[in-house]
Amino acid sequence: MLLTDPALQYWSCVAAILATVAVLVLWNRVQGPAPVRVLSRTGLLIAGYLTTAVAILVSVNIAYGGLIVSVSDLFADVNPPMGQFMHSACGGDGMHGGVGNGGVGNGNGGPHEVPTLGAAAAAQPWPHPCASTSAEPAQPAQPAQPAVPAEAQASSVP
Amino acid sequence: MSPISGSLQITTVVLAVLAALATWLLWNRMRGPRAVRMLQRAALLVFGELMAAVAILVWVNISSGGLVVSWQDLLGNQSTRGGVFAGQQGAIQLDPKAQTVAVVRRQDVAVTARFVRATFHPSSEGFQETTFRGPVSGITSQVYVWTPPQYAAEPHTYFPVLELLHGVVGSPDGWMGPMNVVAHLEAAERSGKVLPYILVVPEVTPIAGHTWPFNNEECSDVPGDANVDTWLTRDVRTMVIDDLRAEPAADAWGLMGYSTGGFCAAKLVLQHPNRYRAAVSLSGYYLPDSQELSEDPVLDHENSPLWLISHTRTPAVSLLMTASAQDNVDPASEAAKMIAAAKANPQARATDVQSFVAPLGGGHNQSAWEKMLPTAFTWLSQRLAGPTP
Repeated sequence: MLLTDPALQYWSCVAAILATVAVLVLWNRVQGPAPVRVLSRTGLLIAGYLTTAVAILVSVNIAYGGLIVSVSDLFADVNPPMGQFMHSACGGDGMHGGVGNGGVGNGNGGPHEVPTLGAAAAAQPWPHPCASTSAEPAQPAQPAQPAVPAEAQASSVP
Repeated sequence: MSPISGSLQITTVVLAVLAALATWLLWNRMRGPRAVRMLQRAALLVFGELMAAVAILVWVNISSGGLVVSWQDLLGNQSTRGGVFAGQQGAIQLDPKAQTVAVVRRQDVAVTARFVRATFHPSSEGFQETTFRGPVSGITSQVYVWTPPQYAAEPHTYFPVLELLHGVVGSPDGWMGPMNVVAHLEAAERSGKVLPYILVVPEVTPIAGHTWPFNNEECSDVPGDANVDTWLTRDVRTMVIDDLRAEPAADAWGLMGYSTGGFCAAKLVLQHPNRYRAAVSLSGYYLPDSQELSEDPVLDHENSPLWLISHTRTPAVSLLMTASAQDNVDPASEAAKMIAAAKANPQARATDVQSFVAPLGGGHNQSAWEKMLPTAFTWLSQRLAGPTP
């Protein structure tokens, strides 16, 4: 489901209004013993608060250019199963080595895999693990990090 | 009381709770005729509902690092449309020297092996939308394209292109309503100093689930995951060249992005000088942020603009980095580190690196970034090749 769908915005607003009206109309009409009435009214109140909050959040999300686009984004797997992030494992499923450097022309002119940082290997002090045939994934010899304090790595959200 | 203050958070939570309690306790103690009682109840109820929603929004804003930092951020979106950023003039020292631009020779460009034909649908604000499968990356996602009025008026002219990258979390829509990019470009163009660009707004996070700051690919080819760099710089670029009258040469291609998009723009222009000539990073950062890159030392280095400019021979491209003095998420110090690193590395001499700090720029949001657009368009137009008949 798309969270930026105008229909979702419309129906979330309708739900908020209906829930609010329901509180006003039904508050003094709830039946039953005291505990049941308390529960019913609490439910009514919570429904009014929640639907209003959802309507406003959906609208703000759209107004800011669709920050969160799909519902599945909200439930992104924070701890993905092992093996999904095997950066150093080369080849394997062939996703990178196979498709990425494939022979499909792109018409941009010139060779497709132009060494972007200078042709000489010296310009690439960090050998890419997939470029090496040795069994040992090539790790860069930890050259001096650019002088950057840890706070520069602080999380960033647009 | 600023939008990111703890006192605002506490006040909104307390008001929401008090309003809920008051609704409960005062419901049947209202005085007056029936209609007046109903109105009092409705006012109390709606006030509580709104306050709860505001409390949630304040919490999201603060926990995201402070996206909206001043009340001006909330008001600025409309008032600055098409205008120039207050406090920007005079405060910004940019090198106005136009770079020499190589002659674009279309006949040198290799014939496209596989023609990428995308189907476009009209979208909002004059954009055309297409969803297509990139033949090289294998990624299927969305791209929005906008052509300037001159495009229809001059049917034999080829136009320069700006590829616009949104932030994370975010979507291409961020460049439209919130950024007003078309209104700003057309206003800037009337000054005569800005080129009539084709605007291309691709999806920066095309992989489902990998749409958060901690797990997106940050526009990089990540082995075992996805080749988002290839999607952005080869598939999207080729599609635009194949389907539109877009200049194919790198001299006519610029990148611009905000936040994570700014990181991407800085990184991609350094990695692909054969595809892009200039890039603008609006409040970007320059070290990888996502665990997709940071967990692997090789990916972490080769996709880091700061690492590249500190340690490698960087190409003859131009990079402008902007920042707002009030931005706590990606502060101005990050661009300053890039400038210092470029100065310290003799191999980075070919790269034209500049920055400016907006003293009253606002927080980390489109209202702040759109004020930087007029300067960015002018700067890019001094470096990119114009339309060719």
